Amino acid sequence: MTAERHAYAKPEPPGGAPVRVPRQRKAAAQRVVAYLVTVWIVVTLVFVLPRAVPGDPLAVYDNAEAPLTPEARAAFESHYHLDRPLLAQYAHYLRSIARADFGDSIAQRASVGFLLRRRLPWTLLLVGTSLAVSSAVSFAAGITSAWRRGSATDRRLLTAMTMLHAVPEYVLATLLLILFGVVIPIFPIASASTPFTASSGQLYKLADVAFHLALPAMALSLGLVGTKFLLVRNTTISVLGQEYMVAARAKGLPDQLLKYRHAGRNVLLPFLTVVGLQVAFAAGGALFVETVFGYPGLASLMIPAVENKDFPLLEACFLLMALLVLTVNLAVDMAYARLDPRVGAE
Amino acid sequence: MQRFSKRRGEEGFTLIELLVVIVILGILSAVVVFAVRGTGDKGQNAAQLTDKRTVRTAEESFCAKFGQYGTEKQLAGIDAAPDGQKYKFLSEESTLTDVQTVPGGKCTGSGIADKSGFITGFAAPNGGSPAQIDSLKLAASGGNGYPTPFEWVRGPGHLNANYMFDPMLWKDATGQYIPWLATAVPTVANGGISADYKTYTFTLRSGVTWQDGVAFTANDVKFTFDYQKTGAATTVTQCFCKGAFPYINSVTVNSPTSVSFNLNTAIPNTFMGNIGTGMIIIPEHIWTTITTPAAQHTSANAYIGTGAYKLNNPTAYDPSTGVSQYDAYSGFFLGTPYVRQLRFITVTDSVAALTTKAVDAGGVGSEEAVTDAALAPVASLPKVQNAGGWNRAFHFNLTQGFPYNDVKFRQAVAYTVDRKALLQSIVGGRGMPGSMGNLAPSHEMLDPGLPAYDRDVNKSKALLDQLGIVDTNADGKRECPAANPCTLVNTTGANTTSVTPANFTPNLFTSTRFNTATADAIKQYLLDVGLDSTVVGEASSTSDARAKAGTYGMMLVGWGNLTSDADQLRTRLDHSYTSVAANKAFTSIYGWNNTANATSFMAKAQQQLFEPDPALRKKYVQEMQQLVAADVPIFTIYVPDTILFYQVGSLSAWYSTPGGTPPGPPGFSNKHVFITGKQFGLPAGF
Repeated sequence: MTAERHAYAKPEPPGGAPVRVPRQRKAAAQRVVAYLVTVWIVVTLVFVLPRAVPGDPLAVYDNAEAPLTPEARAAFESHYHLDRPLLAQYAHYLRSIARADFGDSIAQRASVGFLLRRRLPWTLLLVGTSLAVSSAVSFAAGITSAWRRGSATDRRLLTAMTMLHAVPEYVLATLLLILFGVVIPIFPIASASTPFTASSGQLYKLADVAFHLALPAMALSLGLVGTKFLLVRNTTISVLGQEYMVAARAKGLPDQLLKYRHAGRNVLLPFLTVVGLQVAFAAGGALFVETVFGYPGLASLMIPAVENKDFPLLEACFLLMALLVLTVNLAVDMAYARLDPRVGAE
Repeated sequence: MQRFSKRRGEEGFTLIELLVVIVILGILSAVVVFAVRGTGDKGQNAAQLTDKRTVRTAEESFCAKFGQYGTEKQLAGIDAAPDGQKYKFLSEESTLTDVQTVPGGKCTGSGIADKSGFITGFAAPNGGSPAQIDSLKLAASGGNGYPTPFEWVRGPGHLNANYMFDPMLWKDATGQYIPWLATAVPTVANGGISADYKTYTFTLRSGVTWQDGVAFTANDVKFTFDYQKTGAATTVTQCFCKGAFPYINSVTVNSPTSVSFNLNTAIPNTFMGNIGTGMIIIPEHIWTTITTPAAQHTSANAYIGTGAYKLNNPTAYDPSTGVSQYDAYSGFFLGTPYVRQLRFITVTDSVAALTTKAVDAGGVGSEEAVTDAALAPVASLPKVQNAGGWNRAFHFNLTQGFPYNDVKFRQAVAYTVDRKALLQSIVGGRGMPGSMGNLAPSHEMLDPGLPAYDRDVNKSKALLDQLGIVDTNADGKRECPAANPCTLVNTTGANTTSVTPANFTPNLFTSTRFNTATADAIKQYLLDVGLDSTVVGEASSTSDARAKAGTYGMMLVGWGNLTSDADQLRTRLDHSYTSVAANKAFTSIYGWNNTANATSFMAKAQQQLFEPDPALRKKYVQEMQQLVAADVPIFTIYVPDTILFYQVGSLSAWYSTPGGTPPGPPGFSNKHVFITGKQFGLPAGF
């Protein structure tokens, strides 16, 4: 480790600043271009992969008692553009993305926009809450653990977090559901709110949503907390050994200031990267957690959509998920450059 | 270090620490708010339960003494008993203040009921059911479309639409037709059916109104038929009526309450199912101007039927969850429904939902390994367990050539499968091993004397040896004869052949929607006789399409109308029917026309279709089953029971309709039980 690598490096001479800004902009532009290319690849994959799987999207209309007639099949195929050549379908699909209108779901008989508007907010709420809770907890716990390295607290935290790191979300979700939903029935076991409630107080509704969110969010948070904890702990330990920490301590600064202002700030960079990456894991984990708790998020659209080869719905869902993950990562990338000027300069 | 930490107490909290505390407090407060909110209810419930027991004991004593139930004041000694004396059966007035007449029970007279109408637990009009049910919570099933006449999907979706709409006939727990919008089930005896079975006349109820107040008449029936057959709904599949259309020339309105169907060919065995119960009647005044019937769910008019229930807030209906509330329609022609409100909520696990009382009743998955241990939490609840109609079947496609087209091969496969053991291990013994005749074991037309094809490895091996499918290289696996290569049906449909020295390795396709353990077990059974198959599991849409297209040699298919009318054997197995493109379904069996038995089967299939005499028809149907059992183009592995658990004090008249509510598999959501609160017949006075 050289002295230049830490955040308390000498500020660059004033003359350097005008040179650096365009370089930073160029780097940002490169990132945006890379992002757009990735988006195009994702868009295309989302179109190609479901069509490569054998199966019939119109099978949902088929009953053993009332088979789909050829005329009806033709009518449906024309409505969903399934009768056109693949390239024409692809062009139609790109147009629908541009217009942000995916048309109607085949199996659900409802517009994709309608279904997404109802489901996406729940997934965002679940993923957002879980990321926030797990980040706050892992950051505080990680620094504490590193600060008291070797103590009983550290050992306990390390054991618990390593275990959580290893257990999949759906196992945690099932355990929580059985424990706090059935054995000790404190929390509801399905859905995101109490349906059909006549009482319409805003406070009540808010509490109701929080109440239904508790178990799924807890399951997802526990699934996300381990990775970040281990990262924060390890980074903090290496930061604590730095010369500037020794210097700060020698100045007689209080513990809290050392922990968070001096050590914590330097841990923040790798931490933020992992949080960005975790959006993908959280979105994926949310699918499992939502399924276990019957949470009305995207999972309840995506899983049947895959089962039924419901192209319009499937495309919209996967695209949305992919865009969410990509956009957050782009944002993290950009934020990184702001937090650590050296990133943009490289 | 120590010097620094001394000052820690003076530093206060950082933002992150505060955030953590706020989040934890938030979760805690949510818990406390809800935990405390329920406490009052729980206390009240406990008090009411004690009250109910006390009142019940008092009522039983009163009944034993006076031969009738007492009012609350009589029981409390405030009013005089029938003998003029005052007796104190209760030390004080109960909290159950609502007094109403008790229908049924050992004694007559007024009894005490609580607010929900739960009559102290003994005077049972329906074997313990309350007098009425204010609200019934059940599991929602998503993905069944909108409950409008032309936007429902699959059998459950059809039942949903039937909460708001009605056909002319319906079914109760007997499985027989009962009058619904019609006043009677047409028969030859009552003149509703002409002697040649070519005219069916329905007399309709008078005074029935659509939920918007407009009168329902015979014109609506004629309109529905025309709209479906030649009108805007011609290409819409949403009607189980369409199978009868080729045989019906026209519909005539005789009077506002009488309508006749004029047939060109008599179809005595399928007409009632297709038209009587399969065709839900739509209001002419609404649909006459609608040209796109399959895109009307955003219009409130599309939900207006003659039915017992109205969908609450149709524009908020989310078809992917099915979460919904149906409220009783007070103007319903059979009176206000017994269940006043149906609520369908999200349920991920039936047992957990029943345990936590999130639902009033719930079915248990039929084909999962439902062990006694898994069911232990609900073991104390009352349940209804009926013979089911869903089955897991082993399909052969005979058009794929050797060996699938050879009777001996199919018999050899059937002899390897231990269907009783699979029933035990996969379905927990709750059900029946399949009949080799391909009807439900509970079917009224079942031939009970069919060969059982119990597992017999030696017999199976001998049959394979006769075909020349033998193990020539002593590796324990059989090869196909060089002179007669076997077809290998692969996943893409591009078939190859298998000849010696390569082992015969056919694919065994299955849908992953159903228990794949069954497929794995059958792979092992086949290996026992040297057949080295590969299990190919596919998502349901892929699998259903494969079954329908016939791109398989051997396939495990799950489907659910094994209890429906025996004509199912014709539409599933008759080559002259299934070879027509429009008739192909994922339950179809292809290519069974290469033996004398198959020819004989097709002849009998036609005879039973047009035979009006039930006894003679049953004979034909049983002969058809014997032919199926002899040639084995398909065999049923098992038929799991349908099981429903329900909460004490809730609806108890549950049943699964024999033969299925038209025309799907037997399910518990027959609107008849919600409307009448009983298993048989119509409400008193109808």
